[in-house]
Amino acid sequence: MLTLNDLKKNETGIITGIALEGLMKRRLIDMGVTTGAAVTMLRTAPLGDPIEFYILDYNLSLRKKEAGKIYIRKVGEDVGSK
Amino acid sequence: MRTLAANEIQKEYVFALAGNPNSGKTTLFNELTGSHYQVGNWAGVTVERKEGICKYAYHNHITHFDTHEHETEHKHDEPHNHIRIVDLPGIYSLSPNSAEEVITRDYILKEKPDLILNIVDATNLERNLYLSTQLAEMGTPMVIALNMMDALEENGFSIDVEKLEKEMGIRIIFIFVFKGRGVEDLVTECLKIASKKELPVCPITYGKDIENAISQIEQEEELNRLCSVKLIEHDARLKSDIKSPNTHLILEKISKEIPDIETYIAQRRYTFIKSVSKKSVSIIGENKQAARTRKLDSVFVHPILAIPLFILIMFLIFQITFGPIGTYLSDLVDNLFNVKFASLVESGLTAVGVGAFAKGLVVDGIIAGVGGVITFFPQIMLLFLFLSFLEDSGYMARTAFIMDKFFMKLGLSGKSFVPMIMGFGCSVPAIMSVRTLENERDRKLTLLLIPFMSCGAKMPVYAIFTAALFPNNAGIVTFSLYLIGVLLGIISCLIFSKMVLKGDIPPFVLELPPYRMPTLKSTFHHMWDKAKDFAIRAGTVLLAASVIIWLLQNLSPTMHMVSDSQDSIIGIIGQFIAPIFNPCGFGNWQAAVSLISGFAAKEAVVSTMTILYDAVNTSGLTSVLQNTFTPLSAYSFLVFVLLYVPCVAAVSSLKTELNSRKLTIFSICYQIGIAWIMSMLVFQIGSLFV
Repeated sequence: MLTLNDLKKNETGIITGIALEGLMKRRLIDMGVTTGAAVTMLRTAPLGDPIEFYILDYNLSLRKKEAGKIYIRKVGEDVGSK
Repeated sequence: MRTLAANEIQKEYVFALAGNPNSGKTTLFNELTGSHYQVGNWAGVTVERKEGICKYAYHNHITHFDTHEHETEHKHDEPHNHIRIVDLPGIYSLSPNSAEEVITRDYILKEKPDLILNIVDATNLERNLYLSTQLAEMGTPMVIALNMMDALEENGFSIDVEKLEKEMGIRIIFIFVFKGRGVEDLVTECLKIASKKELPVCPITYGKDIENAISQIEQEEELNRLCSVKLIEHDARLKSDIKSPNTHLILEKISKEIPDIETYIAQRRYTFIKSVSKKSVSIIGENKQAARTRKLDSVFVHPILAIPLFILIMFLIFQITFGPIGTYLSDLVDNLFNVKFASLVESGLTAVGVGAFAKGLVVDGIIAGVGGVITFFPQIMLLFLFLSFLEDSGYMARTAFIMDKFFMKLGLSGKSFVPMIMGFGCSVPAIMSVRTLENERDRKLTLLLIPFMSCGAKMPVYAIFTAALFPNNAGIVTFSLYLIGVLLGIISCLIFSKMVLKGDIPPFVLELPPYRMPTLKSTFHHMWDKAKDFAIRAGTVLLAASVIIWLLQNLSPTMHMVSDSQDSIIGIIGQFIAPIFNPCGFGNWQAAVSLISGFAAKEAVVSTMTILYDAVNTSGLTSVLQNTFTPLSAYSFLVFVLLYVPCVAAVSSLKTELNSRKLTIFSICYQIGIAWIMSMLVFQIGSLFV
């Protein structure tokens, strides 16, 4: 199964599931990271972690560890603008 | 239900200001209260609590700008209401995942403000409305202040406010808070809604089963709608307070039917918000704001350029703050306060015939002591000016993004980086800036780390010692000290995060806000906000500390003035504790006393030595140091100065920010302990080779 870590620059995915628990899951849900949401990968930080995504009209950065537990299906190329 | 008092219309209203981080909440708070507000902490946690009186007065349904000329008039007016504004922390939800969210929820539940003033960033509508849908379920009158409508066109869409208001069931007023427009109308509307106790309508429904459960729980537990929903979402805090056994049965039934109830509820909210935004938002062009942010990010977060650029920006800030410009301003204040003002006071006191003791206390104690710190004031203002700019423009969040991987390894997050860098300038603003971190564990850990960053006031000590004993290697010696500080800081951080501040590493979810050009007014306000604390401290804690140290330096144990400070209380203490430093190689009383006075201010180490060694000036001190210290004992002394407890100003801010006496004492003991161990090791191991 693909995760957010499998998105390359400017690729967009639709979240299909979140395999996180407790506080982290709650936090992500509250920030709009829920099943069905579209996420575009923007860039990786200069040191290789975290990763910046575009979701719900704003930029969100997540660590690879957590991004790897958010499952997606890819939907073609998208620059992410509204 | 509460019954209304007949005169309730004339009472003082309390409005709670709530909203997402980066939504313009602080700017709106400043706009509403002017400069009349107080800062404190929420009970038990180090989260800043701000409260102020709204400067807009209500009169005949028109809001007036409450200037001082009006004040006397108003006293005779009946419908002149006071509004107290309580600034709640910036949050994304009422879940509660963090201290900030708990505070917000508990405040609204327990203290029952008359109105929730929810600021919403129009350019980030959907995520902001997520919080609004929760606030609307609290059963408190509510108004949405839709902010940044002026930026919408740039973002390529427009909002039909009337439609949005109708769909949300909440009164919406649009404002341009960065320009200060729309705020008067906002206050007028808020007062109307608060006096009518008009509740927002909750248009979200969660399906028949859950709705049934909600109304049952609302009755069984006497909770509002939000808390009932949260209880269904397995909110641990609310679960422990369940009164009725029926509630447990209801909850069990629901969790059997919908296993992942948290996601389900959130999705219902987001689905509702999506349908609202579909009806009221229309795309009118390109999103220039997002494009601009992306363009700037391609430079500032560039894979190769990002770190050099960051170093360059920090270097420039330090260069201006601690270099020629900052020093010039500092000297100006130094001259005004420590020379002109001091001599004026001195001649004044002499003219009225005050004795030597009182004169010494005022001039050499209070003025010199407080002056030594006030001298730093221009530099602290400059530093805060730049940092406020970086924060308000959105760059600060990027530095956290850039450096996070490194800090993750230390059990911290990238957000700790900037306060630590500032620690190289002055620990006091660095400690104060830790407030911007949103997680309490991160805050405490960062606070414990800052003393390891060699502050600017230690520079004079390094300079005089390296000039005397390492004239050819001054640069390398000084650099090695900074490096020792950073390395020990990293090691200590690993120890602290495993032993002292155990607990889960908080989730790192960082919003990178769009780049914005901060207005001059808000940047200055922001700067002053922080610098004010420093000024207050200079007038209180430091004043007291200066008096005490001067007294100790000039009085004998029998409370007589001494001419030779060797006989003073501090001199005797020095001689008593000097042997402790024998293993470190500098067991003389002058060194011990200078370290004690270094607690008042680090640069006092040098001035104390100048007095105690009877050196007339810097070159005199240089030759004394050459005779008293060997290069090895000098290096060991410098290592001690680098690591031991920071100055009283830093410790007092540390105590305020840590909000824990235990941790403050721990920090003091740890710094002194590690300083002694390290300088002892340097001297003992070094002695084997020299």
